[in-house]
Amino acid sequence: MAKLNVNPTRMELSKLNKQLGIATRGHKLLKDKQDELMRQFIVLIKRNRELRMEVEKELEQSFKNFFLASATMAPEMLEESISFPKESISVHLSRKNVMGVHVPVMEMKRKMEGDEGSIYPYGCAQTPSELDDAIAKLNETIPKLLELAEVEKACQLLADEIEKTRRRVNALEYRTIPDLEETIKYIRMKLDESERSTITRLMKVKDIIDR
Amino acid sequence: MDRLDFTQGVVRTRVLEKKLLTFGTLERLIDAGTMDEAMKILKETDYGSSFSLLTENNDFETILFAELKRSFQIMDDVSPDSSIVNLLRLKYDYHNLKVLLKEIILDKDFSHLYLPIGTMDIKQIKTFILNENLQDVDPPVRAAIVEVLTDYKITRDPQRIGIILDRLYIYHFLKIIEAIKSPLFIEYAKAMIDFINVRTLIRVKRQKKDRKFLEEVLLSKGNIEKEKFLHSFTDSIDQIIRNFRNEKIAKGLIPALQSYKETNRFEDFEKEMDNYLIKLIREAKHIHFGPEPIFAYLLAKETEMKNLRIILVSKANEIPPQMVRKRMRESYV
Repeated sequence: MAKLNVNPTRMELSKLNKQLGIATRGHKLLKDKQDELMRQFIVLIKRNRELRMEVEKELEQSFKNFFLASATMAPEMLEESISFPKESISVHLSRKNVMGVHVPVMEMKRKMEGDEGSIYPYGCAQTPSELDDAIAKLNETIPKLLELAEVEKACQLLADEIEKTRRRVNALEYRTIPDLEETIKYIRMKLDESERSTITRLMKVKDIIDR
Repeated sequence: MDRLDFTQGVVRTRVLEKKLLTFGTLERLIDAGTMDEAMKILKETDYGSSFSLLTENNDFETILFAELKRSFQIMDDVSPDSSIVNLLRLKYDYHNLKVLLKEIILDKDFSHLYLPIGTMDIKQIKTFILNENLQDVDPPVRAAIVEVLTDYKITRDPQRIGIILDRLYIYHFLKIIEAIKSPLFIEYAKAMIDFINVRTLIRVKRQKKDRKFLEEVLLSKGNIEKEKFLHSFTDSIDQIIRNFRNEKIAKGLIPALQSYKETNRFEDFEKEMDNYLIKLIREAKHIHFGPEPIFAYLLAKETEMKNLRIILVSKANEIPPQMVRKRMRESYV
C-alpha cells in the first residue's frame, strides 16, 4: 500500500475525503451488481448444461439415423436427395438487457410454417425411409440448438462481465480505498503535526516576550 | 429377342456367380474386429483387383464404385443385348438427371455427385438443355426434362423434381421390361412398385402430408391398384395389414408390416422388401436360355454391395457385429 503523491493541505484532504466517499459507494454498488450477475449466471449455466445434454443426445440419434440411411444407398444419391432444400429458414436476431449486458435473443423463422412435410425435399421411391427419421429428428433439434446457442453466448457475455466487475470491485477494495485512507491519515497527521509545531512556536515566542 | 442368343452369356454369368461373396466371407467380414481387418479380408476376394485405385486408406466407397463399374462392363461384354444391362444402368441415369436438373436450376456445381455408370452422356445433355435444343435427346428422357422444368417453373417446389423423376424412372424401366417380354422381369418390377407404394403410403402418413400428396407420389402400373392405397390412407397399421393380406407380395409384405408395427421403424421393412425381391429373382437360377441370369447377376451384385456397405459403414462407426447381422440382406447365392 502506498500513499498518494499529494501535498498535505486541507484542500487536498477534503478532496480525498470526497473521493473516498465515492469509492466506497461505488464499491458497494459494484459488489451488488456482481452478486446479481453471479445469480443470473448460475441459472443460465444450469440451463446450458441441460440443453447441451439434450441437444447432444438428439443429434446423436439423428446422426445414427443418417448413418443407417447412408448404409443402404450410395453417398452420391444421399447427397443428391438433400442438395436442394425445399424449406428455407432464417434467424431473427434481437437483444435483451441483463444487468447491463446485451445478450442475444434468436428466433427461428420458417418460410413454410405449418406445412409439416416441407422438410423433406426428395421423392419417396428411391430414398430409404431412415432419411425421413434423420431429417425429422434434426428438425426437432434445431429450435433447441438455437436456444443452446443463445444461452451459451449469454453465458460467455455474462462471464466476461462478471470478470470485469470483479476486477473493478477488487481494485476498489484492495487498492483505491486503502490508498485513499492511508493518504488521508497521512495528511491528517501532517496537519496535526504542523498545528502542534505552530502552537509550540507561539508558546515559545510568548515566553521570550514575557521575559 | 431370341432367347437362344444368350446361351454363351448365361454360361459365363454362371462362372461369375461363383465369384460372388459367399455367406462365409460376409460372416468373416462382420466379425472382423476393425476396419483394417475387414479391408484385409475384402482384399482376398474378387474386390482385391480394385484396391490399387485406393488413394487413401479404408476409402471403401472408391472400391465399391470401381467394382460396380467393373461388373457393368463385364456384363456389357457378356450380354448379347445391351438393353438388359442398360435396364440396370437406368437408375444411375435418372440419378444423374436429378443432379443435372438441380444443378441447372440452382446454378451450382454438383459435379461430384454424378455417378458415371449411366448410359447417357450427361455433359452433352447439359449443353442441349442450356442451348434449349433437346431434339437429339432420347424421347423419354426429353419428356422427363421438359416435364420437370415446366413443373418447376409453375410450382417452384424442388421436391417435385425428385418425385417426377422417380416416377418417370419406374415407367421407363417398365417400358424397357415390357419390350424384353420376360415374365420374371415384369413380376419383379410390379412387386417392386407394390412394395414402394406401401412404403410410400406409410411414409406419407408419418410425414403428415395430405391425401393429395399421396396421390401424387404413388406409382401406378403395379399389381395393386392405386385406389386401394388411397383408401387405406386413413387406416391404422393393423387395418393396412388386413387390407393387403391377400396381395401377391403378401409373403414378404406382411412380415415387413408386422415388424414396422412393432418397432415403428422401417429398418426391417426395407430388409424384407429386398429379401422378397432377391428371392423372386432367384428364379433365374433355373433359367438357362434367356436374359434373366444376366439381370439377376447384376442385381445380386448390387445386393452384395449393399451388404458390404452396411458392414463397412458399421465397422467405421464401431457398431457391434450382432447389430450388423440383423440388418444384412439375403444374398442371391
